[in-house]
Amino acid sequence: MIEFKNFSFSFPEQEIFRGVNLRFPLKKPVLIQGDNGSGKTTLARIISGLIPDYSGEILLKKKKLADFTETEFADKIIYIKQEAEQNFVAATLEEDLQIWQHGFSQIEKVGEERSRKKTFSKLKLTEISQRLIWQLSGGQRKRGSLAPLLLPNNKIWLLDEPAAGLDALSVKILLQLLKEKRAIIFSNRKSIYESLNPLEMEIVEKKIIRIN
Amino acid sequence: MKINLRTILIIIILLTTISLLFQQVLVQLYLVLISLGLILLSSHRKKNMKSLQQRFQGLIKLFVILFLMQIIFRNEGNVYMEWGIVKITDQGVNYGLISTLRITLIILLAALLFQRPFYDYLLAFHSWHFPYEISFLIASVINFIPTYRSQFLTIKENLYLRGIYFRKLTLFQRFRTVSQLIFPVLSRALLQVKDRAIALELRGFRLYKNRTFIYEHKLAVWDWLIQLFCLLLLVFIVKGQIL
Repeated sequence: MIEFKNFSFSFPEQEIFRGVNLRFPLKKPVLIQGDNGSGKTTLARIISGLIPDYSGEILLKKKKLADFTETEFADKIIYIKQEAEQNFVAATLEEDLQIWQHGFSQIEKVGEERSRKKTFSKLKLTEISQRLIWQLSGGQRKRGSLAPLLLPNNKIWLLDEPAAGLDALSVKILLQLLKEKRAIIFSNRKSIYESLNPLEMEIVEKKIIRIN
Repeated sequence: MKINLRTILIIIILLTTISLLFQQVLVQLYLVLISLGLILLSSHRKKNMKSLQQRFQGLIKLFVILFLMQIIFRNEGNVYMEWGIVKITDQGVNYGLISTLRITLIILLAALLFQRPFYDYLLAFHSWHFPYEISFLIASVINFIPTYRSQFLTIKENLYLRGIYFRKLTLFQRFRTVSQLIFPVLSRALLQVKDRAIALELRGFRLYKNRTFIYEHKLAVWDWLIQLFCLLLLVFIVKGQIL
């Protein structure tokens, strides 16, 4: 369950959210729609802990986000940004996934390599996992950015336009992954996610309203 | 008060020249104070001041290390204290303070420069009758630093999302982490330059000799006065030092 209590947020020059009061369950995918610039990415960044300066309260499983420790954010939430290249820190997909698994430690835990191989195979990335990320095509990078979702975890997924730039097969794989997952999808492309029967929200005039 | 970039560049040339020519702590301190005053005068955004403050907070350890190194390795002059082979001398303390103040000055002047948009540099160099290509080249180099900064910030953000906190790492761990991250950061920054070069070529960058600009930066009276004062002072100082 995620709950907003009198939640507001403004950038210095622009108000984005004003007095949002809303709660919704996170048992199945949630789709948050909104026009360009309405605040979808900002909301994703707030929930992921990247923007802490909001007013009001946001509660995740009855605990205030403001009371989350840094480790709790990383343990409970995984946020994949809209621009694929903004998600990587390493030079190759293989290295990047290793950093997801064990940081910069050189010690690899049992099963981590197998888990990476499985992930790359599922996303059809095996052949390009050792190539430099900036030499990959836009679509390959986007698919690569989704790889950490497949690592064993029990996190809530925050996905900003996850299908943008993906081909039909990759969208199909994405939808399979999203089925019954605790995911919040920030996207305008409702038709893509219809098969998931998501809980639909929309950002309208600085409020988040529930559609279904 | 909006000071013209050309005026700021002349002030920076003056301040750095003075900093190089004079080895006195008090002079360096004055230069730092003048730069700070300039930043306060020309910065309209609280955000800039906050990021400058954060930068200094992050560099405090470096300042202390630099200061201590100078004190330990410079043994000339009158001895204040002595423990075995370690001597603290007046010159060591003096150089320690001077180097720390110089680095502070460099950071402040850099902050002063990076507050300005890329386009202002083009206008400044163009009004000094630099060829447009050269102006663009210099402006691009200056613009490179914010590009790196933004790349590093994105990476820092991504590490945070993965539960890796830069400020919780020890100095050694930070060096190791940065050494692993530097290659992707450099490569991505260079790719941005490549993209910009392609975009320029597509617009026929060197095709036209005469150009129009979106806006102009005219010099105000105080700009003329400051520039004149700085140039006279520069000539006076350089002449005094050389002759």
